[in-house]
Amino acid sequence: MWNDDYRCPTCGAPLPVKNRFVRVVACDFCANVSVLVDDTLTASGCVAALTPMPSMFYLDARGTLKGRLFSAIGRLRYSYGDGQWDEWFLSFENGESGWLQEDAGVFTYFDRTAVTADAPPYRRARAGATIQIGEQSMTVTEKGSAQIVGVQGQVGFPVVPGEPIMYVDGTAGDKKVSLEYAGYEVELSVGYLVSRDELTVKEEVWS
Amino acid sequence: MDEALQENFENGMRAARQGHNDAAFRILQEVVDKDPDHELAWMWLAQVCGNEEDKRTCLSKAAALGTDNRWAVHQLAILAGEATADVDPFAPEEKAQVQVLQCPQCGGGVKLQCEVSNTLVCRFCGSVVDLSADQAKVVGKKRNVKPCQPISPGMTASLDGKPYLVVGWLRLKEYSDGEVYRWEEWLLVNQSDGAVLWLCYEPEKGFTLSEPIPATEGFDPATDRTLPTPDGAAKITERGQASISGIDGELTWRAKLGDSFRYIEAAKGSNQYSVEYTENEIELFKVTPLRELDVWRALGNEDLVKAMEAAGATGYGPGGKGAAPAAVWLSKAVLWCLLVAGIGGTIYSLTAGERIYHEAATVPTGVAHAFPQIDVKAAGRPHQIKIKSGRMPAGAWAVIQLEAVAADGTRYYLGGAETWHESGRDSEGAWDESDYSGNCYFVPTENGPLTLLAELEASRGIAKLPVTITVKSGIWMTRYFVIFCIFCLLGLLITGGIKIELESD
Repeated sequence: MWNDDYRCPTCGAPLPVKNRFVRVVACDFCANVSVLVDDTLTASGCVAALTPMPSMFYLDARGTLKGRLFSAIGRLRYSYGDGQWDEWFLSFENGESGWLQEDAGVFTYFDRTAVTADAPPYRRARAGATIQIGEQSMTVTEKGSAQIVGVQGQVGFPVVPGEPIMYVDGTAGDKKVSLEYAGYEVELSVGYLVSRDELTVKEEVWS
Repeated sequence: MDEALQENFENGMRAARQGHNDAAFRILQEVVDKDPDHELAWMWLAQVCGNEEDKRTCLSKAAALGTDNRWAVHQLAILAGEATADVDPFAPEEKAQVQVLQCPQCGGGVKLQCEVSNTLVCRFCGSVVDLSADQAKVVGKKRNVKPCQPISPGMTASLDGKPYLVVGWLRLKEYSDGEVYRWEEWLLVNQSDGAVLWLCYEPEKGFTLSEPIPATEGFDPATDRTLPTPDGAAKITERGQASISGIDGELTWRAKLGDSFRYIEAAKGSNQYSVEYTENEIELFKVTPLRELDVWRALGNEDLVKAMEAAGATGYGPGGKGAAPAAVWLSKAVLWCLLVAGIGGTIYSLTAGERIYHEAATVPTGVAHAFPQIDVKAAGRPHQIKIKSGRMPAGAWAVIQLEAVAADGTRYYLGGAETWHESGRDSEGAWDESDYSGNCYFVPTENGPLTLLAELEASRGIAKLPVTITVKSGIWMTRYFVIFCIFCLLGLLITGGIKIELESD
């Protein structure tokens, strides 16, 4: 159920928070981005209008991921040196949340946690090498820097548009692993590729 | 709010987001009918109203319900003419939705085909424009090169029933062993889900389709000999470095002429893979050969489809798999037949021939010794002479030279044989080797009697040696059959009739 206690600190419009893990909210009416900290919404910047990408997803799309019902309540757009990718913040029926990365038509589902163990320095990563993050090891397939260029809806990641992110992507067996170095926080995402068979988006028919 | 009403409200909101205003209005109207205090529903209704009067009503309701709904108040002020929509106090800094770009070089208006493009080539002035920054900027100029195939950005293609748009084109080149290799790639974007494919063309291999696949295992592209793939370890068959020498249309990354990357090609059975990598990124692709006919069908090029069908050409490129042109098959078949004939001839030549002479004599050293006459009956045909000496002590050698003397006294040198016997000791123990025979060949020019003269030269201690001479006529020269077979094998290797795979360590 949504939490209807909030209002946009910029324009005053009602701003229901749709999932308990939401930390950043973009207002549907004035498009400003607010950060939810300690049950308080604070305006923190502006949201860039996201250029629509051809995708099976859209904001508030509903569907199933491996049989679990979800609603795509938010989107982050990352831009890096050679391109862009989107990450959808999914709210599941049981209140859990997760991230679905969409990059050039490939979907990867991630569970994100803050890194508590020592994260290796970003500079130490090299494509093809293996690095250790606590008990998790990963083989690096890509490293680079990116920037959040837009937010839509509500997301559970404490970043705002314009914020730089250093990332190291890799694999651990059949899992995909990603480290994101944002400000003072390092987040570890462990996930798996999602095939088109495992992901369905409910087709809305508007008569 | 009850769950059904909440569900209805979310449906209405979704319809509004996707631009289905009529459906959104109908659904949201039902919501506010059941819950007149639903402030958010009134606000969404205001966004999908068809006329100003309804919009004013909805906004008034929302403003009355909200304790501090500054957005609704501002919208009402715009409707009342007290504020202008151009000045929005809440407006974020929006990045312009680039759909029609003005080229920063020539000012030409260029419509983007793909909304995620980061590179664009202006079709007016040929400038390569970087779109990834806040301000589009020119980073180069495309060269006056065109694709070698009639495929250009803007075309559509249907692959496996899915619609694709040809968005961009690259020409790549590589220097290797003093040669320049060129090939071309077209970026295809799925119109419905944004998936990306690369259509590639190499003159040696024809068309292939590269599909990005995830790299699930780490490997070192610089040193590893195999590539981990979903099918298992694929043997790396080629490595190289390519650079962009031609560019057109739009690309999804910031590309410019001269950019280079390293690549690897690998194969596992009939499955092909490729990797493109830089220091910071590795991309893995599954490569599928395509028949040229299927490419033109996918692109809807009916002229080329008809031309190929009329010519009976349906196959892959010269190095690709599948239905190769008939000429290639015919040449392979002919070479195989010739090879089999060559092997048969080689075997036959080892046993062919009629023994027409066999004599033994003890030949003294330093003096020509005449053997009984040989009666030549097959002039013009090669004859084989086998010379065999008697056993010698270890360390000895002998050279037996043969001459033929015709009836008119003409002398012909026929050849000779060197025989020897050696022994010794090495790390594996004592050894003993010897060779007491040799062959030579001659082609008599006339039939008739020939006297054979043998001269013996030997190592010290040998004053004479038993020598046996055997002559065969009607022989087949084995060496020529062997050379013939080698050429057949080379031809089969070149045409792909035989493939050799070297096992990795």
